[in-house]
Order: sequence, then structure tokens, then C-alpha cells
Amino acid sequence: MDRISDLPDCILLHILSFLPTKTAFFTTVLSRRWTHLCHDLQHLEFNQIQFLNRNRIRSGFGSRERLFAIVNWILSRHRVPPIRTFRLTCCLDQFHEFTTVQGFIREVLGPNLQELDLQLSIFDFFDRKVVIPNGVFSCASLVTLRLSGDITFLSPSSPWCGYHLPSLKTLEMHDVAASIDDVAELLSHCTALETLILDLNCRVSEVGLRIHFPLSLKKLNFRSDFDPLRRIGIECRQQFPSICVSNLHNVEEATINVASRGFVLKFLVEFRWLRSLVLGNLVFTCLPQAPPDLIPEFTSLHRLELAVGCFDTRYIMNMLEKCPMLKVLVIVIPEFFTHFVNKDPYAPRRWEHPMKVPVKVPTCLVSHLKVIKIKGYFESRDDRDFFAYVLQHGLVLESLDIQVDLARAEGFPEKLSLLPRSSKACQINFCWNQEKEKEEEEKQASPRGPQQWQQLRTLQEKALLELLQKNPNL
Amino acid sequence: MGSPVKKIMLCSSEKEIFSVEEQVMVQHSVIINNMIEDGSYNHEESKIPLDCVDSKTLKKVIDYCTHHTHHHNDNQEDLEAWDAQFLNVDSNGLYDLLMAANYLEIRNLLDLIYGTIKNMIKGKKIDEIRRIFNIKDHGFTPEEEEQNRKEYPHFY
Repeated sequence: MDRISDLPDCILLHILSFLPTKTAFFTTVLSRRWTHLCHDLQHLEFNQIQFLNRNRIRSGFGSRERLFAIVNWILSRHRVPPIRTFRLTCCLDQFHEFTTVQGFIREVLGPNLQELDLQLSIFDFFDRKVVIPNGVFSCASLVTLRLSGDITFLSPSSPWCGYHLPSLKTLEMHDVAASIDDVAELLSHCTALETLILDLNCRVSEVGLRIHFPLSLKKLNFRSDFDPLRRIGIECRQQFPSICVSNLHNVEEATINVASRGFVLKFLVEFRWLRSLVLGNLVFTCLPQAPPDLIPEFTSLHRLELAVGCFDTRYIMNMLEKCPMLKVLVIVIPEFFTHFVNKDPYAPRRWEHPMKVPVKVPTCLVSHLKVIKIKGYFESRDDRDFFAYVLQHGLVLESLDIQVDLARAEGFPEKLSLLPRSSKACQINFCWNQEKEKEEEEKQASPRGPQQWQQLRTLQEKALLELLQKNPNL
Repeated sequence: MGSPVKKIMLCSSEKEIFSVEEQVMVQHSVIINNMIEDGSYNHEESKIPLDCVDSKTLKKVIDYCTHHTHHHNDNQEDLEAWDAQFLNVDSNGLYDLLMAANYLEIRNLLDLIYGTIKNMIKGKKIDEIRRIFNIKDHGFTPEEEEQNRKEYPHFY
């Protein structure tokens, strides 16, 4: 007999778990030895993309049917070993398909399910949603729950919902149609939660907001998409007369992107031991106007990333003063902003005068700040004061990396390199915008270590997916 | 020089003895780590018998663990190049390594091998995979095989 078929089931199953379930299914016809393995798969992952048929003109046609047929085939023959992972990415169209998906979820639910990952979108004019069965929220073994798309769930406060998620460590919700109160209520049942990603597209109608975060939380990514261009942020502030968030002091990494100043500040004052903070571009529409004394001090913050709509030196300096231990400062000017700033609709909020700069140099500049990175930069005359200042006062600065558009930066590198530097070791590096993609790739390729193993696997699988798309024969 | 490096003895299926730095194996192998921790290994007398691992394979496994212990700070590309060179073995060698890594519970090595086998499967047709893995006897009756080919023509 051939050697590979000699391998024990557990090893063959492990090999199959590295493949998308569709490919695993395909090995059922490889040889009789492999046929039954598919009944024992513990990790199921399906993506509609894998089922596209390139040979037809309407390649999308039938892909969902083929996907459902295989999920059904596998689930109906599934044997004893419990399903641990179920991931499904697909678009739904007909109402009966909602029921099918809800049926799949019920089928995979069990005392051993550890990860449920649903990314559903619906082509529909009636604003219908897939309702997550209640059993999901009382699945005691669940460690990871990701919900994305046209999904909703019953309010946890309804009397017939017994919510209980004691093992849940990662909760991600993107665009899930749920009121923020229900999400807050759900959170109160996640006692072991460590990573929370909330990307809410919620219709704000509540009078007050109260989120009592699980004390175990270590990583928070909070984003609420109130359209900043229409300044709904201001209205939204009025819609939350009382905001109360609590229990965030164990969080080490946070990303906040909300357009309400009151909201942002409530979060910021709760963080005690934060090591990494990202403030998104929505925050930029509200926080810079806040009086600096309202912003708390972050005594253990090592990395700060600010997305800004323009190079707002006053905002940047105010934030630096609040972070005495800061080692890395990243300033990002998002691409869609550069489009506006060209015409400069904002009045530049710059320093009054270089001589009137803060009397006391921010502590981090003197003792800790080693790296400053600026992404998507384009020159305006006033910023030079900022660069001159950090180079002059940054005693331990090791590098200043500026990613700038070549066309708009004529003479800028030369001028900058002439400025006096206090730190002998300080390097000024320029990277052109064209190189940005390469840098992103490198960033993606670098994650290592046991915790990032999972992440790496998803990346590999993404690459695999692309391969599958290019190779329709599979 | 400081205190001598602690060594442990591993014994292959051919009863050949390999002496390895303790730290190297403890770091990579869950099984050996457990043995050392719970005190079931005696440094004066014990040899760890690995009856299902032959000398050739054991030597490779030790190579892998040693390299990854001493070069873990190398840049990723160098390590990957080394891994690729390391796994440049025939399929029998690959299965032996897989079984050994599985027995000793060496997570990194297992993942590396699983990844390699996965790449041998993905994107291929059934006939090709059968050739690669040398599956001569698929065990289906001619009728079943024909039925499969009819049902999933794009697999073949």
C-alpha cells in the first residue's frame, strides 16, 4: 500500500484541515481510504468564491447551490467527532436560503464548537437579515465568534434568551444590525473576553448608552460609522445624553474610531494600562477641538497612531504631552483625505509661532520617543516647524520615516536633512508613496510566533483562495 | 568556560544512541519537555527510546531542532530557505519525518510538513495526486470509479 494511505486517520485529517473544506471534500474520490475521512472533519470552512464556475458566462450562477449541496452532504454524513470550527462566507438571495443557513448553524452547534465565523451578505431590497439562532449565545465552548454582514440577533434581554458565553475570547461584529444596547447586554455575558472588535453600523435612537465591558478585555477595536462628512457625529452626541463605559483598565491595545468627542473621551479616561492606541480618522473630526486638559495622561502608552485629515501640529503636540513613555508615534493621513486637503477646506490648526511652542518639552521626546513615522504626507510650509522641533528636542530619536508623494515633495528631503538634530543616531528616511504597497506586504508577511499562527494560516488560505480563483479546474 | 551543556540521550529504532543538548529538545518537543519536567528522565541512566523513529530520521529531526534553537533570531527568509532545503527529501523520508514529528510532538516541524503536503494536494487533479502519492490501488470498484468520474468530472 502507498505510504500516505498508511498514515493514521488523525494525521490525514490534520492535513485536510489545512485545506479549504471544498478541496478536502474532493479527496473523497481519491481512494477508498480517504472517502470516509470527510465524515470526520472537525474544521469546516466554506467560501462561495471557491464554487464559482469559470467556464460559464454567468460564473456566479449556481455557485451558491453547489456550496449548499456540499455543506449539506458533509453535515448529513458527519460522524462522531464534534465540529470545532465552522466558517461560512456567502451571498444570499432567496428567503429560503436564510433558513438553510440558520439550519447549518443549528447543525454545527454543539458542546464542542469553538469557532463560528459567518460573513453573509444579502441581495435584497427588503432589509431582511439572517437571525442568529439563540443557541449560539449559550454555547459554553465557543471561543471565537465573528459575525459580519446582514446578520441580526434577538435582544438578549428577552426573557427566553439564556445568554451564557463563559469561554468566549474573541468577539467580532461588523455591520451587524443590532442596537448598541443589545451589544452592551451581550457583552455582560462574556466574562472571559479578551479581544473585542465592534464595527457598528447602528441606528442610534437610544436615550442613554451604558457599556460595562468585561474586565478580562485586553484588546479593543471600537468603530462606529457615523458619517463624518455629514457631521452626524454632532447629532449623535446629542442622541447620547449619557454615556457610560466602564471596566476598560486591563485593555492593552485599543483602536477607537468614533465621531463623538464625548464618546471618545469617555473611552480614553477609562484606559489605565494601555500600551498601544490607534485613534481613527473619525476621532480627528472631534478630538482636536477638545481642551487638552480633558484628555487623560497615558502613563504606559508605547505606541500611538493618529489618523489626521491634515497635519495638525497642535493636536499632535497635545497628544505627545499626554504620553510620557511613548516610543513610537505614527501619523497617518488617509488617502481619501489627501484629496480634500489639497484644496484645504480646513483652517490649518497650527502652532501660533515657533517661539511660543510649549514651554516644557513633552517628556517622551526627551527620554523615550525613538521612532516617528508619517504616512501619506504632503508638504505644507507650516509643518516644518514641527519637524524642526522634534529633531531639536528628540534626544533619543532614532528614526524619522516619512512616506511622501514624490511629485509634491520637491526639495523637501534636502531641506529637512539640513535641520539641526539633537540625537546623533537619528536617521531621516523617505519612502515614496509608490513603495507603500510593498511596505504593506512586508507588514503582512512578518507576523510570526505561536499566537499569530492562526493569523498566518488565514493569510495562507487567502493566497490559496486566489490560487483557486485562477485555477477554475479545481 | 561555564557549566557544561546538559545533554540527553535519544535511542533510535536501530538502538543507535544520539546525544543532544537538553535545551534543544525541551524547547521543541512537547513529549521530551514533559519527561524532563516530571522528572521521569534520569540524566545518569536514562535513554529515551524512540522505537518508531529510525536513525536517519532521528538525525534529521535533531538537525531541525538544533538549527531552529540556535538560529531563531535569523531573518525569516534565511530560515525559510533552510526549511525548504531541509524538506528536500523523497516522499518516504517526508512520511518518516511526519510520523517522528507527530510522535515527539514538534509543533513547528509538523506545521512545516503539513504545509508541504497541503501544497502537494492543492490545485491538482485527482489523477495527478494519485501519481504524486503513488496511490496505485484506489480501492473503488470500476463501477464506483466510473460513477465518481461522471459525478465530478472537473475533479479528474
